[in-house]
Amino acid sequence: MTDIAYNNAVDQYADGVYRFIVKNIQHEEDARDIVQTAFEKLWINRDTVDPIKVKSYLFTIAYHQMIDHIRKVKKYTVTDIYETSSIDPVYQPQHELRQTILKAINELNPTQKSLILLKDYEGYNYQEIGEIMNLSESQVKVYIHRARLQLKEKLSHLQKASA
Amino acid sequence: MELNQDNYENYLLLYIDNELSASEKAAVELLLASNPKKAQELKALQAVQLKPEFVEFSDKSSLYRFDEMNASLDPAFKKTLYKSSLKSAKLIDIKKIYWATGSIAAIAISIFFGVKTLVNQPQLQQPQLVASIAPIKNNIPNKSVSILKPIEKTLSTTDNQLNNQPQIIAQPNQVIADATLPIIASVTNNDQPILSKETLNADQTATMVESSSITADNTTMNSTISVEQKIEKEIFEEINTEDNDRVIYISNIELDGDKFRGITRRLNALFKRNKSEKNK
Repeated sequence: MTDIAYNNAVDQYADGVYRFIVKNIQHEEDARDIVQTAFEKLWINRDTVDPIKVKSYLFTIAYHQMIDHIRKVKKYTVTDIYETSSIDPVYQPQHELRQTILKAINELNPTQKSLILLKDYEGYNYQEIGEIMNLSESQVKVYIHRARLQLKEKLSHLQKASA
Repeated sequence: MELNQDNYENYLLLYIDNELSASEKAAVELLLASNPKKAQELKALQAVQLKPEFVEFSDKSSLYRFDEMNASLDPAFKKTLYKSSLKSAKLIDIKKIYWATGSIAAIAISIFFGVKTLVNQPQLQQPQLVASIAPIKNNIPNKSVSILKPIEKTLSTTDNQLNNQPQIIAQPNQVIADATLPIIASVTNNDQPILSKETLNADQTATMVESSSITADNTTMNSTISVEQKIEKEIFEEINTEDNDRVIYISNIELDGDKFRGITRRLNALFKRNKSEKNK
């Protein structure tokens, strides 16, 4: 991988990787650091990384960095997120459906959240997500389906409450 | 697995995740078209899907990297930084020339020795080859010998004359016999400078020999003249090689001397140039 190819990868994937991380951990500075580390590793291993798999390499590195970061900080636990993001559905206006969904997603555990983000934002298939997150294809499928149904239930609950 | 009432939700989830085959997709769409309740369920699932959202990583410049920044530079790139890269290429060429000249020299030597062995063979089918090479071969290596031998011959003949003449001439008249001695001495003395000059003239030598042996016996006189002429011929052929339109024979190949000289000059010029470049 040449320096030109690397810089092209920065242009193409830096935003996506950053979005994936920042939506997960909800912390811009830490997300930036994780993205920096991911690209640093890509630069070091640029000769061994398959040019076709640069994107998934970056997401894999970033994901594992993020998991390490979450473990270290212990700030972004499921319960914490749930507590901070819990909203009284009664005062939630209808037009803010999008925000409601995002908040509902934040109530998911980090694995589920990552699965949904990789699927909906990046459009990866189950197999690719499994490779990034070190999961089997069937595990990915089950976890995503469970997360979707969970979100649907949450949303319908919110809508019912607001109605 | 077929689409039915129990597993349709799973199919809907796979449908929104775009994980179904074309036929499965068609089956789901058929079900949705005929069943509005299930179409509503699909809409509820699609509602919790995240819609594409642009988030920018603001400090991309901090991520950019260039090879020059790397401490261990790529050797190929390093090479381009040196001005002498062209010079080194030239040096390789010179080396190649050395090898070429070396191999040419080796071939030339082998041909020379090949010719030598051919010449040494008693019978040669090409008379021209014998005519051209044999005299050179006989003359050049034994140049000094061939010159000296005739002198010895002349000396020996004159010695014989000296020894014989008193016996022959003693009886008729002593005066003539006495007179021959200095003359013969002068002949032998004159022969050496003439030979060393190597510009022997046939007429001159003939007259000199004649004058030297006026009083000598006719038979001895003839023998000395023939010997002198032989020397003259041999030397003449040697001298003739200095002609401008000389021809060099390698085996049975005829080479133009001038052209050969031109090639050697060019080669010399080339080596001199290379040397000067190297010194620079």
